[in-house]
Amino acid sequence: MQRKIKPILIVLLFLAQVALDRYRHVLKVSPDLLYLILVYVAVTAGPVRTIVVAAIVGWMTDFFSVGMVGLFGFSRVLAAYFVNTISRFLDLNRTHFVFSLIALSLAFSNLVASLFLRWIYAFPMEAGMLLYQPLLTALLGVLISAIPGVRRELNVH
Amino acid sequence: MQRNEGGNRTAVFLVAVLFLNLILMSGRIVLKDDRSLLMTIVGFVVTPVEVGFQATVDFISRNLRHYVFVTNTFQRYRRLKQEQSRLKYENYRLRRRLDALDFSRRTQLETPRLLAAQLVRVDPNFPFDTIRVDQGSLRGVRPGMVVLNDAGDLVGRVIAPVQLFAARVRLITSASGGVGASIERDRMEGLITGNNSRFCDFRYLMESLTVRVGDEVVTSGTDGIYPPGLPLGKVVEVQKAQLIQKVRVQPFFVTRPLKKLLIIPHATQD
Repeated sequence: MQRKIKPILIVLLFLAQVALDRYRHVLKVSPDLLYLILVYVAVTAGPVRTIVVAAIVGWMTDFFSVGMVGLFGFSRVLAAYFVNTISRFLDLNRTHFVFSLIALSLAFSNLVASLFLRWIYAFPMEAGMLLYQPLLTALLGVLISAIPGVRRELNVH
Repeated sequence: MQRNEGGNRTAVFLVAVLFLNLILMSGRIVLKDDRSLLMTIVGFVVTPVEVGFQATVDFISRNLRHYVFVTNTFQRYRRLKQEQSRLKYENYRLRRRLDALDFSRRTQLETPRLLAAQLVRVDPNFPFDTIRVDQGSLRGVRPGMVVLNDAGDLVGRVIAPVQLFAARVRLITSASGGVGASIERDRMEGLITGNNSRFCDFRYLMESLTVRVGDEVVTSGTDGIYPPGLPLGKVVEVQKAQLIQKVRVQPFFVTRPLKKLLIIPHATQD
């Protein structure tokens, strides 16, 4: 069961992200579902695998967003390494820890990306990216992990 | 101990991945003067090595020649060569001053202090397009400055971006741009354009005008970029056509090794 649910969940999250990105200009806030995959890898795998997956997820996010390859690649690698390091000290059975970990790390990652965007293209800092997206993504992450059986199947601990 | 090594490896890997992302990102960053940040960083790192290597090779070969073959003679020869270049350039300017006083009034007449430079690299794919020299913005090199060879013949002009220790020079044989020129014998004016080969074309010369093979071509100054009177080349082929004639010019600088260069600091800016 465990072998089946992981790839299915990952594919579903990926497809949902692709679908959501088509409405990026319409939606005021869009969750980053790829980031949930990344957090899962970061709390279950070692640092090297986390960095590799983070870079791939970051490049995919770059492809879906402003198209500046390396921007989210950089920020997601930093955030994932941060999650990988900090998750060892947290009790991830507690929902508020999971919520905080996802929200804070994504906010940090988006802040790094926003700073680069501001420096290079003079993009304004957006509350949607720094606040609402992390909160919405964290909420979705908590909801997904609360689905009966999913938390146990994902075997985070 | 092993754990520590593993941590170090992870840290190195993390830094490498972050650096890779920065490199990918910097390819899209364009600085104010159309320079790519990536190219600027690469240039900043690579150019000193390139210049250092060139300087080392020059130092070794110079000293070998100096000590093994002709002690002192070589130094004197170099000094005289530099002096000759300076005088030749000054001579052209003074001749121009006498011949065309109206032109001379509009240009700066005092001989500028020339900045000596050395060739660092020629693009192997386009040897007649651009070259790189070992003087950069640190020594006051700016885009638009005119570059001569050690005989005082026109070579090209500095183009942006100018790096700290090096600069690119667009040769007059380059397919980009052109040089206002005239036949020295009777001041027939036209435009010299390159085509990335050893020869240039002298354009816009009417068919009725007499141009002979062997005529010397100098800059006319009408382009507002190159000062007038600089020796440019000589006519090697003339073909009469309708209305205009096809005149092929061989620049002087292609007939001799291009190594020592002189940069005129006061030339027109881009």
